[in-house]
Amino acid sequence: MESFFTRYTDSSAVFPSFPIVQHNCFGSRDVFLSLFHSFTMLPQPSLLVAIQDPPFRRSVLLTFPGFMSFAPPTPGRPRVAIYVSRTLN
Amino acid sequence: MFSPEGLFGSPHRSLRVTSVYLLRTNHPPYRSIFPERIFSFLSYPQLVLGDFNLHHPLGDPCLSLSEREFIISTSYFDAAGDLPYHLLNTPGVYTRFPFDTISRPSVLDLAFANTALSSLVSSWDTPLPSTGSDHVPCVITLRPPAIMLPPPTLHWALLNLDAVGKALDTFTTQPCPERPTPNSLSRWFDISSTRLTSLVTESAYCSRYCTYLMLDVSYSGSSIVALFFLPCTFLICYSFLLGYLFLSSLIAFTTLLPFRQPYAFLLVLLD
Repeated sequence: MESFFTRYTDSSAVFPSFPIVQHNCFGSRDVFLSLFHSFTMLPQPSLLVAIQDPPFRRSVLLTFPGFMSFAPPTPGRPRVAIYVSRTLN
Repeated sequence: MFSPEGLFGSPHRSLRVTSVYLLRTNHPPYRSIFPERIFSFLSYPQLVLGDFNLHHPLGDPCLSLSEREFIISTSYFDAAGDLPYHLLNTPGVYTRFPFDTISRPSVLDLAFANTALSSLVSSWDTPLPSTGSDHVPCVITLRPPAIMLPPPTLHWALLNLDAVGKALDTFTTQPCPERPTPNSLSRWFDISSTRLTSLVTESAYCSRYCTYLMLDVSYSGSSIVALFFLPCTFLICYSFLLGYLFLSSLIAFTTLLPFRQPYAFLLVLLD
């Protein structure tokens, strides 16, 4: 299955950049949404987002279209989360 | 993350991204996670990034630190440096702007790359607007390593003084704004100085390293050297190749002639 990385293994191809964003959201939904909407300002959309203090809704990690979310399995509320773009496969 | 074909064509097939959020505690190491748990030796690329809640002169050189704060942060920076991990932050670029007017901005969001990842890191920046948080988003860009030629530099010894003199005689600046403000005056000065600089640099020759023979050649847009440089390089390389073939044939012929074995002669020639 072709993935983002295997797509650009040919040395003659023009390699894209791979932006990784890090942000402390302070558990705020507004901050979270502002962050993900601001990715349109980047030359290439972010593919991986590392969040500290991510927002939750009814004990479930907030999601954003086009991203998969991951949080460590902790007994309490996780303090970090990773959002991975679905384009990475 | 894992890619069976290698990341960006590099031999590494895995990339580990560790998101860190350190909270203050009342017991050593006075943060919620020990440095040894954050930084570990890995043979493949690893990126450690997050809100470390640490103040350190490497990230914020202008900050005057208390001894306690320095000791706390140094344990983390030492653990990173021993493996080694490299700090990606641009020193002095703040990542937290407190809402109150008493506290100063600080560098709390840090990013570290281990040696395997360092060659893939293109930039660390804070290009995104405020999200409403007192922290700003940090963007780390990975890019495959590329061979970058050094930019051409001006060769002042070959500066065409006559051409520069003639150009300077006809050079005029734009009129200064009638009611100058600091911004408009600064803009007018920038435009004029840029025009003047480009006028001089256009008359100067450039030095550039040749990628084939590593020769330092000088050229300008109208120089005849530039027109003949590539054909000359090709001819020189071709002459070297012909000379090498002729000499190897000669040596092989004289060595193997007494044995009268044409197949051996061919083998040596091919070698």
